[in-house]
Amino acid sequence: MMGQRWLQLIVRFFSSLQLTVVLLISLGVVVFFMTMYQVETGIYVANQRYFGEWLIWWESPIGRLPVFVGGGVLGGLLVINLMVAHFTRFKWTRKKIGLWLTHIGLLILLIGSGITAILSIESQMMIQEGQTISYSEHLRTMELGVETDHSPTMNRLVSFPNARLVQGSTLTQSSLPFSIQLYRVYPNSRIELNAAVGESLPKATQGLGKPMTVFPMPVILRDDYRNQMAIMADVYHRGRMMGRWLLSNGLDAPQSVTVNGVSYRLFLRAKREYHPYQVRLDRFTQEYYPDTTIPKHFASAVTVTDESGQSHPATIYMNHPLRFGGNTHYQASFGQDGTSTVLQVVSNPGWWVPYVSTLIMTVGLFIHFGMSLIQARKGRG
Amino acid sequence: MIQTWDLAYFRWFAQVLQTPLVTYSKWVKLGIILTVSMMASGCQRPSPSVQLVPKDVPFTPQSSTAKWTYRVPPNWVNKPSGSFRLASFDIPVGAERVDCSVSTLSGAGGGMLENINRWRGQLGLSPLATLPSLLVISISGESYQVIRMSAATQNASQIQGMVVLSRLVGDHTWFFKLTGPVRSLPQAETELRQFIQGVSFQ
Repeated sequence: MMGQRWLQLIVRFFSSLQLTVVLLISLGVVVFFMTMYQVETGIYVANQRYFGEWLIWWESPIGRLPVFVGGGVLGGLLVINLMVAHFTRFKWTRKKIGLWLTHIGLLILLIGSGITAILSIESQMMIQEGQTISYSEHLRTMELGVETDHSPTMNRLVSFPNARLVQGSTLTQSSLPFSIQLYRVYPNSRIELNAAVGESLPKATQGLGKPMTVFPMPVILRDDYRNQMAIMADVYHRGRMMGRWLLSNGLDAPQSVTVNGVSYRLFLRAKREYHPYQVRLDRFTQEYYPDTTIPKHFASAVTVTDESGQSHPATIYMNHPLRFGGNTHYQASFGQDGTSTVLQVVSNPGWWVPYVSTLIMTVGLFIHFGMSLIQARKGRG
Repeated sequence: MIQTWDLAYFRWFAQVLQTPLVTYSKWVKLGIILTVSMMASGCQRPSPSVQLVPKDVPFTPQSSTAKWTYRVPPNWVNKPSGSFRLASFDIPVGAERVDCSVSTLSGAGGGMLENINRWRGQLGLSPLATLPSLLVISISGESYQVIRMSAATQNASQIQGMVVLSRLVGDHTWFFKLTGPVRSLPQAETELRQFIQGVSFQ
């Protein structure tokens, strides 16, 4: 009985048209503030803040406070609201099949955009002419990696994701004989060699960073800017501190820690997505509008080699992506030198949703208006 | 993955909701449960991943087979050139010697920022995040980019520096690089500019 009462309560709540109005207004408010926010931060950061989390947080002087429900949650609630309202208010009749199909198509579209937001992965491949790579990199997410040799061609990688890179936290993994304590984490930094100032700042005692000083810098949120993250990492083995290493995506080379005769390479870099295929850039071509530096056409001639060693030559250019291995490779940008390309690699399990939902809605509208037309003609006749 | 403290958090809130003293309406209760669930799920810590990944294949932009002719100044000393150098010389300046190398790479040779960071690495300097504005000079009517850098040390006599003059010829970039004590570099650079005037690119 109790359960039934709760169910009725929930159904009544979610089928409420007042809820629809509240959700639509709330979404409008969220989109308005997000639009204002993205002027200074860029679309990615604004999207993450307003739609990427359950709640919208405010960095107040006393700490992080939730101020509103995230846009994604509002969208999800709207979908539930539309579904429940539809199934409780609209009755199934043959005459309304067109309307039903249209609504179902709309719901699939909304749910599909949710799936895309949650499951799609976007990364970039930066390749130079003649270079072959099998990974793409996330633009904004970092990883702290510990790598060892596994075989002549393979490495064993333990990757600590961005969300774990918090100052004061300790990183452990059962296969690693040591732990890494993050003494300082600088989301953006400037690194100087033999700096005359900054004596009070923590220094590395091991590795490449020994003669370097890290100066904290404010995080820059522009879409086209990559912050130089730096971490002062203390490595502990059996309770004893082995030293302090400076890790940064600004330092090219990995640094080694030797424990029990095994050499482990430590690094901080843009998070990588490894693919079961290799992409080689054979040739990058670009054309400019006459007497300008505005690119008119740019294309990447690539050869993709799959796991069986079979080669697949392809040319990627604007509006002509390459679909391979479950990923879509778009021509996104190119290097300043004219011999390197930047491909946007998108893995989106919900890519088919807009096509299917649009088809269902089109069929639904055709049926609905077709039936109305026939009825109107019959009425006249 | 639900952490232990998450469960404790839920239990605590369940107790709060059961407290007779707290007479929330059903809607407020529903709101609290939803908010707490969202906050708790947002606080989960992702685990590290372990995977086998292919080793990075070292990549060097292909060296050019471009031809060129030049005249070696009489005081310069020819040195054996490595795989990436078209020519190597020692330029004597007083009692010191400055290393001079000539190399060429296809396109922009992998990008100016990448090259500058590679050279900074050779001097023990940290890499730059963005390309600084570069000085452009003219030699025999052709534009050359000039990159000058030095590694600061406590001892002025040991300061090592580098001067690179670079020019795009056709679809290849040429690099004329000097490495040596900073105080000898101005003299060596003057001689290098005279040397470049006599170079014929084909």
